[in-house]
Amino acid sequence: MKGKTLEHRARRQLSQSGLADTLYRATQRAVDKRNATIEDHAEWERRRDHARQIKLHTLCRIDELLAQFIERAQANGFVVHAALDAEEARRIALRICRDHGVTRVIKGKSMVSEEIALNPALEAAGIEVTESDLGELIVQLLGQAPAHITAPAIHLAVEEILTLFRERLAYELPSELRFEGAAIPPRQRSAIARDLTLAARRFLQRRFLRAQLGFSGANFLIADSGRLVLLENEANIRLSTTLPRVHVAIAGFDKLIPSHDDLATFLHLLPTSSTGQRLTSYVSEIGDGDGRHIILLDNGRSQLLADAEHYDLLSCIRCGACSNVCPIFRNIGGHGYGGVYSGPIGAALLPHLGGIDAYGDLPFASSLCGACSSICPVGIPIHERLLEWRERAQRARGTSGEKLIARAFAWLIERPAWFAAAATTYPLAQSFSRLLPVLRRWSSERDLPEMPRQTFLEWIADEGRETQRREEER
Amino acid sequence: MRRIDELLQRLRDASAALPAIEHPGPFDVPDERDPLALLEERVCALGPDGESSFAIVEDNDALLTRLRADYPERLRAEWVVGDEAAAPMFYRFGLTEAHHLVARSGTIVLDVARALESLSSLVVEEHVVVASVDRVVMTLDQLPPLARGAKTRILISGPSRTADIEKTLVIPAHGPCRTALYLVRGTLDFGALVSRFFSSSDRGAG
Repeated sequence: MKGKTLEHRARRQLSQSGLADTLYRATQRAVDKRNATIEDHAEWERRRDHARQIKLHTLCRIDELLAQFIERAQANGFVVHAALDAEEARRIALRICRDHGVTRVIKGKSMVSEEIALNPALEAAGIEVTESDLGELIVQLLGQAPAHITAPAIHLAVEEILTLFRERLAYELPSELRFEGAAIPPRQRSAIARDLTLAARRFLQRRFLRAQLGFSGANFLIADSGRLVLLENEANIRLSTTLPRVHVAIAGFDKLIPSHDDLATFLHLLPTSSTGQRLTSYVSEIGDGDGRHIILLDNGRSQLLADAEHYDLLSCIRCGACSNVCPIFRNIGGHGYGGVYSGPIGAALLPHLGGIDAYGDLPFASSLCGACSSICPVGIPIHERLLEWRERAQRARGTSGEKLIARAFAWLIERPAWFAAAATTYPLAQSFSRLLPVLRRWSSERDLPEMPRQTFLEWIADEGRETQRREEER
Repeated sequence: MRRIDELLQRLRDASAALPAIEHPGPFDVPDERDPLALLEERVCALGPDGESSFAIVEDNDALLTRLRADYPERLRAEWVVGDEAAAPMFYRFGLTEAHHLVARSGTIVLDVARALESLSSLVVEEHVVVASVDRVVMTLDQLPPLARGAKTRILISGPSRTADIEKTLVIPAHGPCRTALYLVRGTLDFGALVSRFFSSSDRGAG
C-alpha cells in the first residue's frame, strides 16, 4: 500500500463497490450512539476543555512526569525500557521473548505494535503470534492492516468473513444458518455474525491458555501511580495480560497523564467518543508489575513535541471519532491513507511520524469542514493542523502553477478592457478543459459552469438603469 | 537505563520552548440523583435483554439466604472465588467482592493485589458480585484511591461484548455474559459469606 500516492489509493478504494455504503453505515451508527450518550452528560463540553488542558499541561512538563512514571512503575515491579525508534522497540520485544523462551504470543489490540511492525518481526523469529481482538484477528488472517483505529474490520462484510473463517479456521456454517446464493439474506446476517464470533471465541480460548507471553498497548500511563490503563470490551486484553506468565506493554510517551485523579475524565471521554458507550465493559488499571515489561516508544514523537505549532497532536487519545465523522474517511476508508493511523488525525500525524516524503499528500485528504475538530474529545483543532500542513507544503514548493494563475488573474482583473476580452474566450476554455491533458484530470469529474448571458458589470449596469426607471415612475 | 536517560533528555530539549500550561485541578460534578436508584437502572441495562440482576438485602445473613436460593446448584457447579481457579479453563460461576460501585456508568470496581486475583470476574459465564451499599458513588470522579495493599484496579461496566463483524453486538466475546449484583446494608463480611455459602452442612441462614 505504500509507495503509491494518496490519489492512487483513493481511486482504488472508491472503485470497490459497496465500501462507501459499509463505511457510512458503520460510522454513522457510532456517531449516533455517541450523540445520544452525551445528551445526558451535561458537563461534556467542560470535560473536553478540562482534558485538553490536562494533556497540554502534561506535554509541557513531559520530561519530569515521564521520569516520575518510570520511577513509580519500577517501584511497582515493572521492567521499563525506552525505544527511540521502531527498530529498537522490535529488538527489545524479541529479546524479552528470547529471555523467557517464548514461542507463542497472544496480543491485545495495539496501534503502536502496528506502528513498529511487531508481528512480522516476531513471526520471522519463529514465534506464533495471535491477535486476540476479534476485528484484529480477522484482518490478521486476511493479511491486511487495520482499517480504523478502533474498528479494524469496519470495511468487511459478513460474507467475506464467512469465507475467511471457512478457509482458515475450518469453520462450518450450522445447517439452520445455511442460505442459497452468494449474498447472505438480510434477516440471517446478524445470526451468522453471531455464530462467526462464537467460532472465533472457541479458537481464541485455546490460544489464550497456551500462550507464554501476552502483548498489549496502553491507553494511559499514570505518572503518580506508575500504573498502566487498558480499555476494552471483549475481555481479550484482560485474558492476554493475566493468563500468560509474561506481559509486555508498549506505548508512546504521549499516553502519559499526570495523576490517578485525572483518569476519570479520560474514562468518560474515550469510550463515548469511540463507540457511544458510557464506559467500555472493562478497564484495567495495572500496577502489579512483577513479570511485566513496559516499552516506552519515541519513534518521531519527540520531534513532533518540538514543533510548537503542532505538538498538540500528541494529545490524541485514539478514539477514532474524527474518522467516523470525516466525509473523506467515509468514502476511502482507513486503507486509503496508506499508513498505520487513518482519518483526519492520521492525516495530520503521519507526515510527522512517517515523514513528509511518504505522507506529505495526506493533509490534502480533507474537505476542511472541521467536523473532526468539533467532535475531538480532547479539543485538537485537527482541520487547522491539516490546513497548516498545506501551507507548509506550499511554502516548500515555492512558486507553483496555481500561484502563477492567481497572479495572472490579479493582473487581469485590474484591467477591465483586458478582462472583458478574456471573458469572451470562456466558451473556448470550456472545450479546452476536456481536451488539454493537463486539465483533463480535473475536468473528467467536474463541469465548468455555463457562461452566463451577461457579465457581472453588464448585469449591475442594467440593474442600475432598472432601479432608476422605477424611481422615476414613482 | 542509558536509553531511558536519552529519551528523557530528548523530551527535555523538545519541550523547552512549549508554553507553560497549568494543570486545571479537580473536575467538579454536581450530584443530581440518588446513586442507588441510578446504579440499579444502569446495572440492569448492562446485560443482554436485561438479564443482569440487582438486589439489596438487609444484612449478611439475608445475603446468604438469598444466594443459596438463587444458586441451588452451587455445590455441583464449578466456581472461581477471587483467584482460586482449580485449572486453567472457563468456569460456570465466579464470586467476587466489589470494593466500590459507580452509579452513572453501572461500574463494579475490584481492587486487587494482582490482576490474577480477578479471575472470578473473567473466566466465568456468570459473575456474582457482592458489596456493601456504602460503597456506591455517583461518578468515576468520586472513586477513592485503591484499597490498602491493592496494586491493580479493574472496572467492569458490562458483559464481555464485541461488535466487530458488521457492528452486530455479540455477548459474550470471552468473559462473562451475565452479572448478578447483591448489595448489603451495613458491612459485608466476604470471608464468612464464602465459607458458609460453600459449606454443605450449614443449611440454614442463621
